[in-house]
Amino acid sequence: MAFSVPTVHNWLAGDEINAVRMNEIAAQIDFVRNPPMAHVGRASSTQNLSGATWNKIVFDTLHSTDPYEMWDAGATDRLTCTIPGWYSVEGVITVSSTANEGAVVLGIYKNGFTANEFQLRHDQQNAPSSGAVNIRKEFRVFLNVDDWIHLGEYHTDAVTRTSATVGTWEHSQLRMRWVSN
Amino acid sequence: MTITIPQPWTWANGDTPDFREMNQRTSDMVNFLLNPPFIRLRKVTVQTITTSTTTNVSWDYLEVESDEMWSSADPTKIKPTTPGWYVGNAGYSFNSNTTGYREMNVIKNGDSSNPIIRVKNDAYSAGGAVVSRGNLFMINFNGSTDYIQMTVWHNVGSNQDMLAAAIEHQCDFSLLWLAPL
Repeated sequence: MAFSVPTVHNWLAGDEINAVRMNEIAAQIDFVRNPPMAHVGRASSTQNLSGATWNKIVFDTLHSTDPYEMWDAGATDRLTCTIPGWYSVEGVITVSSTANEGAVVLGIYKNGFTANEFQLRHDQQNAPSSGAVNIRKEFRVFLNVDDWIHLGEYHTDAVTRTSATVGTWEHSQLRMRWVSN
Repeated sequence: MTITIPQPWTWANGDTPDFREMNQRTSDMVNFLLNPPFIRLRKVTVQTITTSTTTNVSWDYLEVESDEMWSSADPTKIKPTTPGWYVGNAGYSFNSNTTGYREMNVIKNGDSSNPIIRVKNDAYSAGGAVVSRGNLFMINFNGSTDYIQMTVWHNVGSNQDMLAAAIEHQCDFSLLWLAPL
């Protein structure tokens, strides 16, 4: 299904105020009141994360409604843009920890998962050795229709860790929200 | 150019708006909400930072701007001309070095004693770049005299470069209008 930002009418002399025009206004207000947004998480089960390599987080839970169909059950490693615009993108990685671990890195990628598509990075050096490591970061990016976003995790030591699930909300997550044309 | 924040209209029985009033009372409001004041800056050339010296980041790439908030003639300052509350995002990086720590501050009107946000990162003991992007904050501006800057600091003992070759490393800064004062 194709979506679009509501068109804003430029009123001209002689224009009739009728139900069509008033419903256009209602649609515009509804859009800004409830813009495209999707929020997914790796909440139901842990995911193995290999050491010293980038891991793409695969999501298993849709936390929000998704009227603009940004999450596809057939492509659970991403959120895909269906209306162009500037988006607020927030990523959270929750990584199981052990003693003597090195750095844990959060990465957000656009339209791929190589260095060329790497958009945002945050390194947490000398990560805590007790409890899960949580990193939450947000940024703004322009997306066209069919552009997509991946969430990635990297840790420097060779040990396989897991994308942890702790309680209700401590797990890896990705959120995208339309903020502007 | 100051963008005027449209004011909601209270309709009364008998109102018979002409086309100009329909634009003022409906379309202008929606257009503002669909295109709020917004800026994103990046640092695409290397800036060398002297050790133990607080330094303003000098922005050199304007990715998007809707409200004339930045000028290359005064590249360290972002000065919104539309008053209101803004949600901001900032990030920095330094080249690889194992010594000391790094710090980023976002300051308003030159007040370094009361940073809006402060982020500190130790140098990684095993070496590697220090990257901290995606740091979120909220701030208000009066739309006339208020401005904001981002400063960085390190104590390596020798000059260090802020990374700029890859998007994932580039310092960036964005502001998005959120609400009226």
